[in-house]
Order: sequence, then structure tokens, then C-alpha cells
Amino acid sequence: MLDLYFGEMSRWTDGLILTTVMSTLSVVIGFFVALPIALARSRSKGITGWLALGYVNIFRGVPLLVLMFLIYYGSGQFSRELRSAGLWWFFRDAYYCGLLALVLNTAAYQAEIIRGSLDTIATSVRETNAALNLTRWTSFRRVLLPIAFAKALPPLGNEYILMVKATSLLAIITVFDLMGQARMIFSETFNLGVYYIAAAHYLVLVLLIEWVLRRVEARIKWMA
Amino acid sequence: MTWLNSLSYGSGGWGDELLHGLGVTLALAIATFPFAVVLSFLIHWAKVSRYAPVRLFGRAYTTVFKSLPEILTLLILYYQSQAIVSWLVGVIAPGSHVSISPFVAGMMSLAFVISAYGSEVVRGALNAVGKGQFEAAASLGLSPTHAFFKVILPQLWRHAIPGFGNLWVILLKDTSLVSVITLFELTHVASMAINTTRQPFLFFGLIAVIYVLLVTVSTRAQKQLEKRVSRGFTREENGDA
Repeated sequence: MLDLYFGEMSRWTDGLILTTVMSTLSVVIGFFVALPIALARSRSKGITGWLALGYVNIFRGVPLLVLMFLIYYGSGQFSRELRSAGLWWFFRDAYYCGLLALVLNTAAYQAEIIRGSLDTIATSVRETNAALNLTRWTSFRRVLLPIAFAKALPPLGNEYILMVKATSLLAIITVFDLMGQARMIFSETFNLGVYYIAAAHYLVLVLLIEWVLRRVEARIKWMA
Repeated sequence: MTWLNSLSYGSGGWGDELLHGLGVTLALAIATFPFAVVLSFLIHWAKVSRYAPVRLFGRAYTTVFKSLPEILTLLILYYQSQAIVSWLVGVIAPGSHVSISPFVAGMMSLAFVISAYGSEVVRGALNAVGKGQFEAAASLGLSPTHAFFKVILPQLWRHAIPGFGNLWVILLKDTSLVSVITLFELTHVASMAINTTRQPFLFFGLIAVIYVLLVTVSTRAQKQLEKRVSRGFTREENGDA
């Protein structure tokens, strides 16, 4: 079993790097997609609120695997149109499609997390901002958002871990992340130990992230 | 309207196959859920056991199944249980062949993963019921088993429904992963339909809609259930509605 690891060291490392990069990218991009959706969910009662609710319900309802299939294989049905629109380079590539699916998925979850923490900020904070004559934008950017972010950090950290696990689905659409490399090596050796090595990688990665998150959370306890 | 043809209910279309796939998806989720709930309780008790090795097992179980991607758990359990069963059959009755069905492998791994999260739901719900109930039951002379089934469990559901409701939705969506080990559920049927019809967007879009509908119906039902079990309680007692 050890030679399965040391013999294929470079592939395992490549997979580990790709898994980390893809999950980090999707969480960070997803956060910025989630912000306006969370705001619309929390403040707006009109059409934008409905749109945001629709987004959240749809992308939390579709299994990530199906979403990846829909974007990666589904776009093939419109290859001619996409080609003429100059977007084919994006939808042709499993990496971009996978990332898009991950971002759309995590944005829905993160939007609910951020909305939740925005809603728990007491109205008195908002009134104080008004009394200090802060504009709504300044009040949001300098006061509400930092508080909301600190409050949302533990669930956002959880979401990050969920995304690390979710990137493993990329392997099904032929991306060579940790899981993809494992599938590849397994198809060459038919040795079940390959999957146990992949499992050890995920276990260490997740425990490491949890440890870092706990340390970060301990530092900003004053805010929550 | 060629796309309607490929969804028709008959030999030319995939309507009946998709419906069958939907049935398998639901069957898998419904068959798994009770196991997952019972396992959640067992794992919770393992984590608070008075024996250190049992506690360690409970903690290791949750850590492992919460850290591994569901699909990896599924593949490992599928291949490993296959290997173990083949070996056992080889010892007991050489020459015969028994294989693990993807349905059973899917059930096992989904139940393991869901119960790892479920044990925390159980812990939260037991905390919400409070230790006093156990002590009161004990002072009335009820045995621990009796106290659990007659006193704690009836009060527990009210606090556990939101948590288990979320897990049900996760389970429903995770059944799509079992398509990877060729169980003929919704996602797998759609993939097969695409191989012959070459209409990936149509079929994946359709099953995406079906999943969203299933999830929406589940959440509605959960809200109704929550409302029903919390009748007779004030908003404060429910931890704000």
C-alpha cells in the first residue's frame, strides 16, 4: 500500500493541490456572488427578494453532481450557439464548468449563512449608525458587514469543508483532483488501497482546515 | 417538438424509465432514512458512553464520515464489502458467487454519512429536552429504557425534526451519487437516456427540476410537521418560531 503512495507521489501532490485550489477558489468567488443575494434576501421584499429566494431554493435543491452534468454535458447541446457567442472555450473545459457549478452551489448556501448573520444584528446597531449620520453604504461596509462576517465565520468555515468534499465530484466530469487521480491510479492497479490513501488525504486536509478555523475563531471571539 | 417524443411513455421515449428511476431514488432514500436515524442515536450513545474505547469509536466514526467525501465513502464501501463477501463465500461455499448490489452499498454508505451528522442532531435535541426529565423519570422508578421510550422520545421529536428534516434533504440529493456505482436511479437513467438521444440539456435539466420539486415538497412537509408538533407551546418554548 505504501508504494501506491510513494510510487505515485507526484500525482497525489497534484491532486491535493488541485483539490485545495478548486475548493478555495469556489468558496471565495462564491462569497462575492452570495453577498448581493444575501442582501436581497435580507432587505428587499420586492422582485429582487423573490429572485434571490428563487436562486437559493433552486441551487440548494439540485444535487451538485446533476448541476455539474447539466453545465458540462448540457452545454454540449448548444455548442453551435455557444461557439458563435464566443463562450465555447469556457463550456468546453471541464475545469471551468466544474468551478462554475461549485460556485453556483456554494453561493446559495453562503447567501443563507450571511443573511442569517445579517438578520441577527440588533436594530440598535443600525439606529446607532443613523444617529452617527453614517450613510447606508458606509454603515453597511464599515459596521454591519464586519459584524456579520465575524458572526458567519464558523458556518462559513463549515461550508469550506463541505466544498473540499464536494470538489471530489469534479472527478466524475474528468477533472484530476485528489479523487480524479485516485480513480486514475485505481483503474491502472485495481488496488483498493488507492481509495484508502485518497481517504487519508481528505481526512488530513479536513482536520487541518478545522484546526486553522478553530484558531481563527478563537481570535475574533469578541465579535460574535 | 422532437423533445417531447424522447420523454414519451413507451418504447420510443424515456418517460417510463425516468419514472422508474424516480421510484428507485425515492426507495433508496426512504429505505436509508430509518437506518440513519437509529444509527444516529446509537452513535450519540457511543459518544457519551462510560467506556472510553466506545467513546473513542463514536468520535472516530463521526470524524471519518464527516471528513470523507460521500462519493469516496461509497466507492470504498462498495468495493470493500464486495471483496469481503467474495472472500467469505469462498470460505463457506467455494465455487459460488455472491455480489453486493449497488442499492445495498448505497444504503450502507448513505446511512453511515447521514448518521454521523445525525448524532449531533440527537445530542442537540436531548439537550433541549433536558436532563431533568430523565431524573424525574428515574425518581418515579422508571427503568432507563422505559424512561427513554415513554418520557424522552415523545418530547425529543419536536426538537429533532428541523435537524433530521435537513438531513433528509441532504440524503435525497446524495442518492444521485449512487449513480456512479451504476444503480439505476434518476441520475443514472438520465445519463443512459442521453447516450442514445444526445439531448443532455433536456434530460439533466428535467431531473434537476424533479430534484428541486422533491426538495421543495420535503421542506413544505417539514414546516407543516414542525407546526404540528409545536402546537400548544409558546413561541419562547419553541426557541422563537
